[in-house]
Amino acid sequence: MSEIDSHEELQELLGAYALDAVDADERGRVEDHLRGCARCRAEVEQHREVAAQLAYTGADAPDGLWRRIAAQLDAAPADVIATPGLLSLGDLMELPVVGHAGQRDPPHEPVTHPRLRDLDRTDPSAIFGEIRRGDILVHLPYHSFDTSILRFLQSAAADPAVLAIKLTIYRTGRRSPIIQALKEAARRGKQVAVLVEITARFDEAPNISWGKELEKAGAHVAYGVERVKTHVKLALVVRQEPDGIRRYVHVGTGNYHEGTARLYEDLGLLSADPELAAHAAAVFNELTAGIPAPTPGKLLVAPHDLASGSPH
Amino acid sequence: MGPLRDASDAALAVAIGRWREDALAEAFRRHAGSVYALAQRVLRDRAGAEEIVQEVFLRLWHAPDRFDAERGTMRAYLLAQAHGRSVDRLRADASRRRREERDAARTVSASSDVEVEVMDLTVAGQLKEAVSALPVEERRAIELAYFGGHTYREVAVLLAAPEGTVKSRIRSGLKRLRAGLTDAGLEMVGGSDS
Repeated sequence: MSEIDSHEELQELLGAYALDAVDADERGRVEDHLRGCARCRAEVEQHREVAAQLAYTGADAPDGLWRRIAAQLDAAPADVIATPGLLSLGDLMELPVVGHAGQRDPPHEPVTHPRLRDLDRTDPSAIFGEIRRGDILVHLPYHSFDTSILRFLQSAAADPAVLAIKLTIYRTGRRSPIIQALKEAARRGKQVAVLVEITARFDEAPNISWGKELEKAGAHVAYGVERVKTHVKLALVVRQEPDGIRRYVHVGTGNYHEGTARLYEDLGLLSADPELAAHAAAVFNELTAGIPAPTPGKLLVAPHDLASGSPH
Repeated sequence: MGPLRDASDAALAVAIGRWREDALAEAFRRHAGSVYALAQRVLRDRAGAEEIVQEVFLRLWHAPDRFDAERGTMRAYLLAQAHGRSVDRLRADASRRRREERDAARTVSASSDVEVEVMDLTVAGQLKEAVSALPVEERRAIELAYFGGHTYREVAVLLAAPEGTVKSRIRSGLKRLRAGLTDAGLEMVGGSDS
């Protein structure tokens, strides 16, 4: 389970998954995979349709059951208020469209960044080799988050050459594969340091709860920096290589959140540039230990030097 | 009030989303019997099965958008909900029992279970044919998993077969059933074939 789950391996589980015949851990892994794999989602739906055929059709529900359900429907006529239009802009997030199949765009499926397409899926060091060849700019949601940034972090957790992972987290998914990867890395004895921003609106409680989970797994967790809201999305991976220590950085505009990464447009840069990586390391020292990073450095960091360093 | 008896399941879901109780009643009329039968089959407990039916339909009432008519039928959605909940309950009960008996080493050994989980062949002819065309070991694995509520690992113990083999049999059996049903002229929905 420590390796990155391969499509083929999880595919074999789909029948058992569709019949609820997997254990909780496998269920989580399949669901992580399903989020990014339309083909496997379709297969699960097919298995469920077959299973539904097997269930007996001729039965009636027991008498009185409907009355008991109806008694629990808490919308009395007086509770229903018809509005002439949308309640708020939030309603536009999801428009129920029934029928008109011909007039709908096919759902967007993110593509794997071309530089990451042919990597050996079973080799956690592969992505680092590719980043060494040159920076990779990922454009979400058109590029797949799962096969780029998530893969970067999962590879870091699985790769024996990786010594340390540092990451800022502002918002992440509820069953986040990133948290799973970080826990796995900590359990394998890597140094894992996470800066969790706890003043993330709507996500305060979950952020604290998985922060505790990470601590339990052996990660070092810092909960935000006083008086500022840490909104940076920065990850640093430290790797032992034949010619010495090398650092890899991801710096992006989007959260480490596999759900919103399918929705929001964001950029993420994967780089092994030594100057950038050294400055990212200094920024982490500032965030977790209060040791000021050199300024100005390769990264422009608010509140010190973002305004003054921006082009006017 | 529109003529709900003739409405599609997709249209029912939309009406349920608008808090139309008569739409939920129609969905109940169409599907509650199957949902109850499946829960009862897995749990072997009438009261428990009734609770599952209530949970499933109350969930449909409160979150009708979780059913996506473009991805599958309402029947399959409701049955999958009922099955998942029944199995969760079964496993929670089993682990409580195990704790109470302080008998952690006890494994699923009751071989009589294998005999009980036989697919109901009192169903439509096409399905009967497709089911009886299955290799017996695939059929057994599906029966024990789906109606017995066992994990594929438990099924492997019950059938004294390797776990990986059971896992594959469940998947290949479901695929074979689907092909059989399609050949028999049953229109199978849910995901495009890949």
